[in-house]
Amino acid sequence: MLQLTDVDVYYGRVHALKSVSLRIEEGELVTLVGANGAGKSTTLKTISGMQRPRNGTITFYGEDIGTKSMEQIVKLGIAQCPEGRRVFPDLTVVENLRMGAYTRKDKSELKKDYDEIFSLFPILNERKQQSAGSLSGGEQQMLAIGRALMLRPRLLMFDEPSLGLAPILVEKMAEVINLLHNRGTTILLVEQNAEMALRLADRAYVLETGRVVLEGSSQSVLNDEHVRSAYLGN
Amino acid sequence: MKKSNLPTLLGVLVLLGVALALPGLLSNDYYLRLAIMAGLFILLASAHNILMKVGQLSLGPVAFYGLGAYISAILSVRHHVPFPVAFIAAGLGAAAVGWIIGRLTLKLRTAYFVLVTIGFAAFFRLVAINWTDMTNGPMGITAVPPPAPWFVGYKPYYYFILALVALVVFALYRLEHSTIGRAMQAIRENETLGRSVGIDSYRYMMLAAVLSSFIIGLAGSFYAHFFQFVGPELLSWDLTIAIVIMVIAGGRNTLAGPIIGAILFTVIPELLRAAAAWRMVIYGALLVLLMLFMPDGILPAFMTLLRRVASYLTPIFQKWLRPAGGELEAAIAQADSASLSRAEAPGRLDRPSVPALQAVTESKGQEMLKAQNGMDILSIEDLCVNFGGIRAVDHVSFNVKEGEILAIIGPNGAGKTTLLNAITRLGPISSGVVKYHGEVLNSLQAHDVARGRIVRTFQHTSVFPNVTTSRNLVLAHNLREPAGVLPNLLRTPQYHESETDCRERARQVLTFLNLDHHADTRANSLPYGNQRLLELGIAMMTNPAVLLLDEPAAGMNSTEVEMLMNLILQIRDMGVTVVLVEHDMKLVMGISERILVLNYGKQIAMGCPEDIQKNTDVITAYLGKWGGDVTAN
Repeated sequence: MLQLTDVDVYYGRVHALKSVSLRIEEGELVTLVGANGAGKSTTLKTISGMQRPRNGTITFYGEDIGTKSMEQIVKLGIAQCPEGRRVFPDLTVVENLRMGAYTRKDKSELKKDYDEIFSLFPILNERKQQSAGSLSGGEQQMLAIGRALMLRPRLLMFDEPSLGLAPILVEKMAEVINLLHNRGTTILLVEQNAEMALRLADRAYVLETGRVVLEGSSQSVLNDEHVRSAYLGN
Repeated sequence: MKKSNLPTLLGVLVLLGVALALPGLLSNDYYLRLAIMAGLFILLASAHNILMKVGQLSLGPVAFYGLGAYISAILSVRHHVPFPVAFIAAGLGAAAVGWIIGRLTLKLRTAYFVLVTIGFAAFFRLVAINWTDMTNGPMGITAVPPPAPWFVGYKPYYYFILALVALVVFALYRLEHSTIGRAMQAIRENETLGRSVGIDSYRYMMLAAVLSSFIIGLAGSFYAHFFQFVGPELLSWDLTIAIVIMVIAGGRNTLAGPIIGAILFTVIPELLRAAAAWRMVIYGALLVLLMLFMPDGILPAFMTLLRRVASYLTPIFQKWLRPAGGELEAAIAQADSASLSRAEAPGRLDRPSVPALQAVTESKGQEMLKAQNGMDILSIEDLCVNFGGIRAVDHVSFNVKEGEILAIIGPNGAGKTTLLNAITRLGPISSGVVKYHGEVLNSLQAHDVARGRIVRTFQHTSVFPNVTTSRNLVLAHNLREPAGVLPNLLRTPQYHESETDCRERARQVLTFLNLDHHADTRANSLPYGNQRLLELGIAMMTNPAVLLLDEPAAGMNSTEVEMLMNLILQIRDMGVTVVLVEHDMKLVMGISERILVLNYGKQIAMGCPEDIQKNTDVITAYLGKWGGDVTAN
């Protein structure tokens, strides 16, 4: 459904993505593994339209999205979260969730989605009427994910979902991602906790200084000698 | 490290020569008068820019201008005070009022501060109009005497203002390249971080307000004696706007920007007189275009252009001079990428090298460890922090022993960061005490705590974003530098000593963190992991006794976390006590000697890593699968 072909991205003169090609099939969970600055976040930014590719094509269900604006791409059903934990701090939790459904037509279904999100994150239900700014970092992260889910995305991109979370919540986050995956959501996952990401994913791409150096089933990547020493710390 | 100042010096000398010869070159008194006005505006814009440097926009500079003018005029006309005395009195009077207004308003920020300054300008204007006994009301004070009998024609006034401008600009140049200038830059870049490395932002803002109003007061006095008349129209809104335009269009926060702005915006309106009715239309359009294409001002835009031209020309010249240029070009490309504004330069986090910092962190590390391990350096007694109805920290008591690594863990929202904020006095304490070496810290401010050598890092990466890595470190050196105006203006031996220490320390910290090759990279274009290292470096510049780290490993992968663990252990071995809040259990269990666990603001456990891992409360609240059976990973 999503296909990047020979994508080059530059920040000024810095060549951030070098001829990157990757694909995601419907219902798949694909993860990007790599060090800080390897180009993982840049890949997400390029797909979501925040960064323009200089060369190469990006297609989503056959449609070229490489030149589309961020708003258009969101409307096509590509959502990113938690976007550096960004929430609207002065709005309540429920209002934040409603903002997530901003581009949706089927407002009647919203109630069902709220319930679903509250069943995933019960703490958000408890704090429904609290302003988002008063939530702790981890709770804001859950809210940001909830907001992305309100879009009912066709492709959900996770950017560091475990960042700053307590170990028990990291597990919880892994469960949530797994649950979403089992329900058939297509997911692209970027995560520093490479071990967790590879356990969850169907397939993985390893990025190094802007280049794809390895790709394959997550099991094969997990067993790769180089990956083990560079990213898994053993 | 230091760049050659020769071209700048030559440029300044040429400009000064032109300025000295100007009266001879100008055929017409009209032009000379214009030059004097430009000089006055240079003073006003430069002085106004001082407040910009601490990130405050004032819309009330005319209040001080009028004050200086009225003080000088009233003293000379009514009391026959000689000019030099009236001139200085005008400066001091304005500075005193600047101090009072600063005390009243500088606790405010952004829009509130702007509004209050507008109010003050309006207030002074009303006083000038209505206090007729003193100011002669709308009629104004006439027949203000010239500074001296021999001030005939424009020439003496011209040389007087030229000397004054030269003196003021030189003093501002000196201050900009000193502790004070750096502190102001730090405040502008990231006030919270500045405070947490010991910069008293309020003091520097007061200093900026007093200095700015002093210079504006002097300019006001000159105005009175030059025009030999002072009236309330001096306090007009138009003048405020003109000053603000000069500073912003010229290039705020730079030294030369306001000067360029003042000259251009004195000359352009005069040139546009030829356009008659279209004058203001053209002026407005010019301003809109300027802000559209040079949002940072003329000077910064010009410098960027110059740099770009240089970066295109250098390779050509290099090829011309030396045929083999491959390496050089790479170096230039790298230097260029360093000046990118939003780049996320690729490259992985590098491993730190040998503990180069050891020498500089007063080498009392080892023996102190032996002698004093076990002494309480920090004690927190029955601490509570309330936010409205929520008790974020609930009767927490613990001690930190000198030379240990103590970890604080707990679910998200358990109050860990609130606790760090309370200890570093960036956040409130509702009840209870924090003691450092037995002394109560509660009544101190954040920068005092840092000066007592308790320094922290932040959960969300906090650096000085728009300056280079090495500049970040230099800005964090403030608390080890003389802070007074005089040592910085006169460059005393003490000043030179601290400068040397600063350079030396910055070099060692860069090496310690292995960030040498990123020394000239802007902090916000560093890869994320390197930004987190830089935060650690900023804290190390202050030579801390207690280092509080708020989630230092967030966003790092396993390999990077191992490197960080190694760094923290090295820092501890230098004799620094480390308190860390962290969710990465590999790091927490791997290096900390004791662990404090918080849940809903309450202390639920305290002990060594092995005990904490077995504690069932901690497992259910926080650790999950990490607890119990997990041994060393």
